[in-house]
Amino acid sequence: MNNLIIRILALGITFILFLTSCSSDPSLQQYFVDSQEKQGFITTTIPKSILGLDVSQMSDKSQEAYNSINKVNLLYYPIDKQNTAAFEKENAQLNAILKSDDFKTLMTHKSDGVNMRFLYDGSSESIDEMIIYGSSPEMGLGVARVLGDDMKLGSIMKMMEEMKNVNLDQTGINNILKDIGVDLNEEGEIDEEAVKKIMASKGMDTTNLDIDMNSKE
Amino acid sequence: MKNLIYITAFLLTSGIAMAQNFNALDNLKNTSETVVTDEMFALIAGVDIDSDDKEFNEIKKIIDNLKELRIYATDNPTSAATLNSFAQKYIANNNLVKLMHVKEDGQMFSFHMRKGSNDKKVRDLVMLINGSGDNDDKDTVFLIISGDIDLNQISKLTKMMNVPGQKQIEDATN
Repeated sequence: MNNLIIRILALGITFILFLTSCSSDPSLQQYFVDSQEKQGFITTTIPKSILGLDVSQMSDKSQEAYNSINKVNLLYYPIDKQNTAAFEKENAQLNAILKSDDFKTLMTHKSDGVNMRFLYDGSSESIDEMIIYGSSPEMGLGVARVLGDDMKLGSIMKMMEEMKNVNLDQTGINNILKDIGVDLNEEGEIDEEAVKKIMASKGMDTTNLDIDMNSKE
Repeated sequence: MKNLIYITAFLLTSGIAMAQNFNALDNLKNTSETVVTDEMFALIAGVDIDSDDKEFNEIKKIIDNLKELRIYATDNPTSAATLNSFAQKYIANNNLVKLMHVKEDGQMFSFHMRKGSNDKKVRDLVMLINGSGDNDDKDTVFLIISGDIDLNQISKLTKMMNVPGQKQIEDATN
């Protein structure tokens, strides 16, 4: 009797495993989850609270817009001389996912091997996910997903407009930067050398790189 | 019944004509390609902002009728030649009518279009800027805007997008 139960259990488990391994169309979510365990990938989730916005000071509409955004998922896979083959494979896989009908392409840009795409999921009235993808033969590839629920471009734009007058609390951002090793100089600005050092440690060539993160245009 | 057949036939052919293959331009050296899709235009046009910004409201109206915007730009002479011949072929294949051309500062600006729903509307607008061969800092640019566009409004849009040849576009469309 016990044997029978075990058998059925085993059969059930194999069946489930079979089903999950068979999903031929891996989602972007699945790709993000999988790449957390792959070597060379950097993945982070940034909660929106990092902006340090005081929600109570916002208008009702802006609060709604703010609440519609959940978080930002980031994935970064730097390229170096050793992982070119793996990089090509990952890039192709990612491109196949992004080509699926679930995503609507908003804009693409290509120049000299640099590829940028801007996509979204949902309808124009209610956006579930905004995706920015970029790849370059020098830097590697990166994907940012802005995840939310029923996001509306109009409301978010309005909120940003409103936020222009509000001073952002930078401590949250600064702490994260410190966590990944970026030092800030006395004025609280990002230190260019520190960024280069980090990139160099990831195997990237920074000699011809001109970073100007503090430019205020 | 016959009308229906004509309409379907027309829709089919126009669909084929629209579905131009731009893959030939995919791997040109030192060339940038930017494509803005109708999804983007729909998204921006759908923004319900009761903005006082008059310019934004006007642009919203234009954008609502746009299908696609493509810009190719290069400063590489070989790529420029390929781009140029592709553009000429595109113009010929789609029976586009020449609007005007201007030669200025060693650059040739030419504008072609396909008529839209009425006299004032344009379905495709193609702009080609040819850099002179000897002057290397001048880009060759191929710009295609499709949709149902009011010719008078185009310069507003290109201004917003910061498209090169702004002055010439204004001259050509006003």
